[in-house]
Amino acid sequence: MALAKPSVGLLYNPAVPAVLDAAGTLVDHIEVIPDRLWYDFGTGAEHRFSHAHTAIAELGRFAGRHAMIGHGIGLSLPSAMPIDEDLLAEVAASHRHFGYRWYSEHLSMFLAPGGSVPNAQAGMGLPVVHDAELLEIVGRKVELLQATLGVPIALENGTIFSAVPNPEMSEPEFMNRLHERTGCKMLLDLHNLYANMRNLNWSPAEYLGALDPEIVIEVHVAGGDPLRGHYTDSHSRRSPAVIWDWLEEWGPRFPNLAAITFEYHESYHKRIGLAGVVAELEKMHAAAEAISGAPQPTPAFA
Amino acid sequence: MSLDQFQRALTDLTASPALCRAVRREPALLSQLYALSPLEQDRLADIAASNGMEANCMIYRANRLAPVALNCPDLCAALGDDLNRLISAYWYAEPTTNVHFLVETERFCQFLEERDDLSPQARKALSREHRKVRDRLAATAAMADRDAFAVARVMPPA
Ligand SMILES: [Fe+2]
Repeated sequence: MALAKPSVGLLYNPAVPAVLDAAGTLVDHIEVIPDRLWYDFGTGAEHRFSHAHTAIAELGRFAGRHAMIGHGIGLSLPSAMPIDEDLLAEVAASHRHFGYRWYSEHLSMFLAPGGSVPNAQAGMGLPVVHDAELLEIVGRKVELLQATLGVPIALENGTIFSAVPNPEMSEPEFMNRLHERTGCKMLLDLHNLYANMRNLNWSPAEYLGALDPEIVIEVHVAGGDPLRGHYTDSHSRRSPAVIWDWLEEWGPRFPNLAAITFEYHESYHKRIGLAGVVAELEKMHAAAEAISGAPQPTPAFA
Repeated sequence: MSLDQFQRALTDLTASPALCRAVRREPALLSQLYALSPLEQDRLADIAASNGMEANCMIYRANRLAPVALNCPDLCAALGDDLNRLISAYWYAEPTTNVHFLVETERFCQFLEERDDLSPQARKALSREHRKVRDRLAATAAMADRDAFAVARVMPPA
């Protein structure tokens, strides 16, 4: 049986409205980082979340025409601390406002336990220990998110520069077991996998082959930069060619793959250019068509 | 449970190249600073010694610098080579990053206001950009009681 064509979309940033106005027919979905829809004055503030009304209204302009997916960075499920319930309530309100098809977070630590304030930032996504203890911590929070939001929850694999030595289980095994336990899906970021291949000599074939193919609901593509001998996930360029090869090879093996999303940072919009973003969208459509086995349509924007 | 201590230690190492160097020289330091299992201590010592720790520290600094660079470009330019020293001193005084970009920037500006080692150009840029940041911060605070999701919040779940 042919697979359904995955939806094609962009991670929303302040430069994306210009893309949507110029080439909106190529964009099936918009992925929203709810944490960028407000200013967080921190726990204890009388009105903790001050909404970015202009950004919310701008997004609302597109919400009727494009499906919406939520992609958070603030809940930091792997942190060994209680979930930030006020932040979760705000994410839930944004979901009720926009209607996310699903909601994802990261399998990385963004919040540090034991900080001077409850939402002390680790400053970047840090690696986690893949073991039974973490499975329990993340599993319980995923169940809470599922109950609160009422849509599928997915976790994204991160870019890491220092792997935790002697893990109890590999990252794919952790994702598989989390799925077995909670039904949690995976947002497979192929560019993060590419970065880990370059920085840590990970084998993409081994990684992808170890994943339960059922769990992958979405794929991220992106580009990055070398930095003094390392390779960063800076979302600053178009995707490297090998990522498209991986998507072509592995995409058809993921029966529940429902979306492919290009991520870039607004500060690199000029470098990538509108034509560059459109070219990425066209490549994603071609990949999505190939995955579904359907004939390729004429591009809507040339 | 010592996972919280492991995560705290990893965060502290990422924020402090000096702590990384100290741990590389003397891994037992970890057990003096944090309540870790032997396995966690070994893992952290390996991570601190790894090649990738340099990238973690660089990215931490770039991310923490981002709000200041974005909101006070003239101040950063006027500080020139002093920026590294002054922002490191600020991070030492304020180890917790605030997720609100304007709060984080305002705290750095306030930190500089209280110093007496700024050049006249830097002082001038600070005065101008600090005022702008304070005004924008006040504007976001003034909007804080306007709820963009008010209607959605009272709707039954979809
Ligand atoms: Fe991603």
